[in-house]
Amino acid sequence: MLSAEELTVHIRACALNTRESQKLIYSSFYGYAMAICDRYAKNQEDAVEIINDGFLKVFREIGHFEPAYADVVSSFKGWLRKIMIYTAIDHFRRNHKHQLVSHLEEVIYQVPDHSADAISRISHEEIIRSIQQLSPGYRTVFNLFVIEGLSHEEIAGHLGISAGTSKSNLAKARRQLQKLLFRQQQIEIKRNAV
Amino acid sequence: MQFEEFDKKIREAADQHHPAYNEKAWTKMQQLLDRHLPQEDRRRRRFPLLWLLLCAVLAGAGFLWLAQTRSTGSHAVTQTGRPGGLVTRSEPGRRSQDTDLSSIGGQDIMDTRKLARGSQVDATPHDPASRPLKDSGNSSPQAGKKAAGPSVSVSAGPGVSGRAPAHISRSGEGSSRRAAGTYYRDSEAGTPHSGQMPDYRHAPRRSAQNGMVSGYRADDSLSTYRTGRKTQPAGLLLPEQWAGADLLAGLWPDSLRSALDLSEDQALAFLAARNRTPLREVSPWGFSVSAGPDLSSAGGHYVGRLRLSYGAGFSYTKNRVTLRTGLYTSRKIYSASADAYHPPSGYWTNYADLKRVDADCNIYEIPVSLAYRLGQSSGHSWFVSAGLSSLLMQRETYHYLYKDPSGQLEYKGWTLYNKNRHFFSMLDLSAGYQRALSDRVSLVAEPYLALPLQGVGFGRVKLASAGVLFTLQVRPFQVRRSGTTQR
Repeated sequence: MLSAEELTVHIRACALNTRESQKLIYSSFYGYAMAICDRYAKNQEDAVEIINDGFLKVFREIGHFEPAYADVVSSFKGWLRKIMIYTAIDHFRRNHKHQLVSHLEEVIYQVPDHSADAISRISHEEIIRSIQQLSPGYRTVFNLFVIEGLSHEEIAGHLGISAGTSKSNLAKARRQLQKLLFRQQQIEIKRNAV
Repeated sequence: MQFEEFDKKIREAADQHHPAYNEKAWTKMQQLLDRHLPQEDRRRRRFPLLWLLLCAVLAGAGFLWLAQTRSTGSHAVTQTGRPGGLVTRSEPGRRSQDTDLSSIGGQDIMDTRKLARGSQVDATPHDPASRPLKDSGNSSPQAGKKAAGPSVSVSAGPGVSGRAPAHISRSGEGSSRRAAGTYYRDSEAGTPHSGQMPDYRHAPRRSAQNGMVSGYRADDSLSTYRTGRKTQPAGLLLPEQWAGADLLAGLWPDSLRSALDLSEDQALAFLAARNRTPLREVSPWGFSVSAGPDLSSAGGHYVGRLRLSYGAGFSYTKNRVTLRTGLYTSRKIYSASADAYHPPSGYWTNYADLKRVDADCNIYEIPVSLAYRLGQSSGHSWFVSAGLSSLLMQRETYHYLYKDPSGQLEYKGWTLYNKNRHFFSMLDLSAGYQRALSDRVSLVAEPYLALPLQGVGFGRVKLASAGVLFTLQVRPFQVRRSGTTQR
């Protein structure tokens, strides 16, 4: 990761559309940004499309970037994260809006207790891959609510759906994810048994 | 398992998820940037300016060269039979109303056709002052007497003009012949016609533009003569015309002087007028534009990449020595080992195990050098040059290849702008070949070697360069030739 001083220099250079600095910032924050985009994308190809669209916005607007607080790197990360999330939302709205399910009555799904131990044994990578396997609508709502910490009202505002639909999608996303993770765990257990 | 625990596990997974950098993703990103934020714009803006400048210089040089070629080519200048030789100008197809002296390249010449016209007493409709010479009766005994003297002729050979030779002769073959270009004298007085020898101190002035003599037309002179004598035939050559023709050789033969019955003072006046002719030479100041491949190296087994170096300069030449300077820009791409890279003390806090430094720098270079011309033949010369260069580092980008404390190989870069200037930090050695396109324009090919006298850039790298510079040199100005009196 770049130091604060280096980042400041390269941000200035990026404002002048210097390709070398753009590459440096891209490569330095690729992992951070891709971690976000991966969760919103179905596969690696989609994730790259989102991250590149996001960085394009970053490089277009980088001249207006001003650190919100003393730590330039953290400020930049926060700004970058926001842009990546919004880009992912745009990407979803552009491609998958029709996949959002309609409003359902609020249902609270409980994760079965037997899966608590199982999920603890699942790697982070497997969890992310499982999130990617969610349907686009569920995935987006799940990410925005669980990881980004947005409220249902905010999600509804961003996605152009009602808060009820957001809740419904979240509940279904949780169930679907649990199933995915549990199935993976079962497969893993069976594989070990053999 | 409650939602909170499940969500916590998901958040942990998200926090710990750090995909590795993918170069293919950058390739796609670069395509996207090239499409939406094209970087080439700046270069495209810069290069047309450069090309425009180059074209302007080339056009100027070409114009000068063409102008010179035309003036020497279309005017076939020949000098024959000194003394009394004539430099004639042959311009087929051109019918000028001017009837006497012209000037080419600082020399007076006489238009053969005009002489011929004068000799044939061919008054053109455009020349009201001229009329056919049939006044053979104007021939005088004096003239006949003169005809007995040495025959002086000024002629243009057919090889020169492509026309029948025009003769300005004074012979004893009769007055009718004498009219053919003969200097006309007042038969009564035995002095130049009307007794008005022109004031040669006010001899014709040249037009710098076309080399023609202005304010000294034969017509005018004839008019002057006519005022003294209405029967004065037109189209005859006047003494000053003779003088102009003859003085081309820089001589004033006694035979001619006596034939024309000119006093020595008058002859000297011709010479003085001749000597007052402004003669100019090319200024020692020259301007140049240069471009060529440049290769940099910081020593070791690393060799940089070939890049274009270009710029403009000016020079001052005195005898065999030329003082040159200018402003050149080049992009130096090179790699240096950790030993060759010496950043300011205290800089290394992170990159302890540096493996290599890749540098990409834009540099302005201001060389000051002396060139000594070794040899010269027609249009060619060779020279050697030595000098010192100052480097102004406009942009320095350094990428460090290093191992972090965990032993992981990392590659990190940064850029700084306009931070370092190194005056007289390079020793420039070169040798060159110069080919003159004209006396003002020349092309130079100059292989060079730039050796470091001190470290340059942030890492104080001993950077050496080599390349070949191709230069178009123009010396556009003229100065008065020393020893020549300007009128």
